Amino acid sequence: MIDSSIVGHPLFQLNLMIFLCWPSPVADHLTINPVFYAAGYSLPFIEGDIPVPIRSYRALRNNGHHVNKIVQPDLLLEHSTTKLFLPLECKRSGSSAGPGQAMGLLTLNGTELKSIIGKSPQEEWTTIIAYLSVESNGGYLLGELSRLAGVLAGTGVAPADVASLELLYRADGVYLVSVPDSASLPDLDVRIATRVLALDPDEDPRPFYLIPYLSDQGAEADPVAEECFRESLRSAVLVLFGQLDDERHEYELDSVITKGIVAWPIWHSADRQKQIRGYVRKFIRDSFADLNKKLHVQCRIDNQKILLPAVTAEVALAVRDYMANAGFRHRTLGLSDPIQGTFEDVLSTED
Amino acid sequence: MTDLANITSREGLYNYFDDYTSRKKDELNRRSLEPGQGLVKAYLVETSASAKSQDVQSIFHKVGWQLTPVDSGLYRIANLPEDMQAALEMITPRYGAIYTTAPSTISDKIVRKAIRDSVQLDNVWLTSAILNSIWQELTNPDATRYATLLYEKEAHFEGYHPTMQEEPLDEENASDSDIEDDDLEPYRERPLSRLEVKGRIRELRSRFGEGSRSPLGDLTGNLTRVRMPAANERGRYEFFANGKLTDRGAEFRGFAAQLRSLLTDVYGALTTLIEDTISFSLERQTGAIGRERWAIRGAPVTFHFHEPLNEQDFRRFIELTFERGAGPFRLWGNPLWRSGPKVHIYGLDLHLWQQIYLDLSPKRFIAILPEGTCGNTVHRLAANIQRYLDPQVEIYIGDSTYQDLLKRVWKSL
Repeated sequence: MIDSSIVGHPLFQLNLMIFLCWPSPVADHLTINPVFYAAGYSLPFIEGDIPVPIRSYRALRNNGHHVNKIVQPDLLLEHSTTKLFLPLECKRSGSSAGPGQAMGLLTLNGTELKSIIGKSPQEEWTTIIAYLSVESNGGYLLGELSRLAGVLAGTGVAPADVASLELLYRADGVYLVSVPDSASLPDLDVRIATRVLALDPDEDPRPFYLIPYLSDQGAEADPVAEECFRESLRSAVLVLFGQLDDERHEYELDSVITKGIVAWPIWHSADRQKQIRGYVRKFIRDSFADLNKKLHVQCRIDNQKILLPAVTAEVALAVRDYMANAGFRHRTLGLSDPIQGTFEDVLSTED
Repeated sequence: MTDLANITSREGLYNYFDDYTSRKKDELNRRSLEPGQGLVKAYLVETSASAKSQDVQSIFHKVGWQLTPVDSGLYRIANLPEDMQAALEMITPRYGAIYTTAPSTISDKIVRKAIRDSVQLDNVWLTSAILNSIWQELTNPDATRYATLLYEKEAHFEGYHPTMQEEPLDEENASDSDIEDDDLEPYRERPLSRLEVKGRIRELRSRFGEGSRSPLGDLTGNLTRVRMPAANERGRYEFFANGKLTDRGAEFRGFAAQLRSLLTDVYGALTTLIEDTISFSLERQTGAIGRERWAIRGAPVTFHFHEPLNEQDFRRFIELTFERGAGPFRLWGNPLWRSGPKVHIYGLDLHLWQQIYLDLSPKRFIAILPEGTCGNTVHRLAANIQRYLDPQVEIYIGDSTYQDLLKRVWKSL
């Protein structure tokens, strides 16, 4: 029996949205139906911090309204033919949506956002702020967004348009539908629920998690996502062992982590980055110790530097054979071990 | 007669092979060529997208091959086992051809080992679609000359038992003994289905060309070997799925010119097109006022099976490939099982020791290649999936079919 609440997890939504924007065959029977791509939307962007326009910020604060100074939507899409910005927030429910962030996003009407992003001043852009949630939550979210937009208008600031989208879990797939009275998305009519993910009965709906972890921004605990995160890091670390050859090599720890966590360079929290570095460093150190014990190859990790020695072709081959070997996976370093405790425990206790 | 070891220029090498090929062609015509007497053959190999011309000697040195520069991009290869003599011509720093006259029984083994031992070398994978395009694009549509097409499917995962002895990875153990005629090597002891079709090119086109519907069923999805008229229509060239080419023509220069063009203008262009489409990365974009944003670039490669795999075979494939680290695919990863069944893998391609992400179910495989992973992984996956799982699998690179991208490449020539 599938836990249908999976579709409410922000990580599920974020990763699904990436696939819906990426080019893939447009057919609803082929697992993923990339409706945003088919409708001409851009690749999804992760934006840097977007400053709320000062005039809007001051007007709201002066009237006693809560608004964040900096906002960052989970994703931002563009529809170039109609010159539309579509900042998108992934939410399980209305209660998980912060009003300060929502109010900040609403100040980013097309005129403001085009200037921040650097579009030509001659172009006319509009913005629809969209919240993605699950069945029965979209109505509340749209109501809240509309209410906040009204507050904004009351202070003399033109708000962006708003839309609320829901993901519906059904036995044959996951559907996307817009809540009535949402702003219409150009070239994408989802007023009637459209299947975006085809599933067999009892098939886990999770798409592949390209971004398996949501850094420091209040991510919900999810053991499956944590497992993906660890596996992703493992594969990035193991790439190192393939590089052993007759020359010395030196790698930056962060460049290895970036191979496992594609969004690593834009993580905000220095504390969380430190924890992750510690976790990866320990894993690398354990791998190196094991390798030294088994094959007498002395690799080192020295703070942020990973140092691989020059080895003969025979040793390089032996290392790769050993690492690729099923025994290594199953018996050494616990690479197949289930995660003990929560991911927070793992991060906070290592290194 | 000059020896390959004494060649001092590209022209000298071409003269040597021209002369050699001409003599072998005479022997073939007289049917006096002894089995094991090698024809000129080329093994097409790939280094990496980032390789520089100065890296070539070092890449081969790591597998124990000593390259001596002869001419620009041309090397003599010394100290090969079994006295094999060979030369390497790098067409670009990424693509090269190893030329030899050694019998296949020797050269196949030596080249295979070098590629297996290196994480910087791979075969050029002439997938079924590429082989199909070669004989259709490079022959006269009305040709009355003959071509031979070989289709193969290997039931490697059907009824697999863990105690079964693994077969060698290579799919081409043919010796030169088959050059006497068009007979193909006998069936081996494993469940390999083969179909050889020989006919006049114009007839083959009407049966297998674009728009025709193959009357021969499932097996004809996976073309693994083509023998077709040489560029000058005297003799024939043979193309193998693992990037081996055999020159049965009367000269070498036309053979070399054709393989150079195939490597760079077709295979290289297709691989670059695939990489540009699918590479998963966060691309940093800086605006005029220094503001940063990141586009999540990429696209999945989708292998859609014409019929879902038998669930037991699917589980065997996962178990053998990932749990046991065996089998022909050479992939690494801990399978994360989901219900369905469905499996997610943050894995490695052990040919090149590069990352590959896989979302696998009996209905379809989805592969995502993180930035830095070579596009020829897609060709290899395609070749292996067609050979071992489903000859008629539909392959999509993003939203385009693999075949459409290939057509686009040929059209641009």
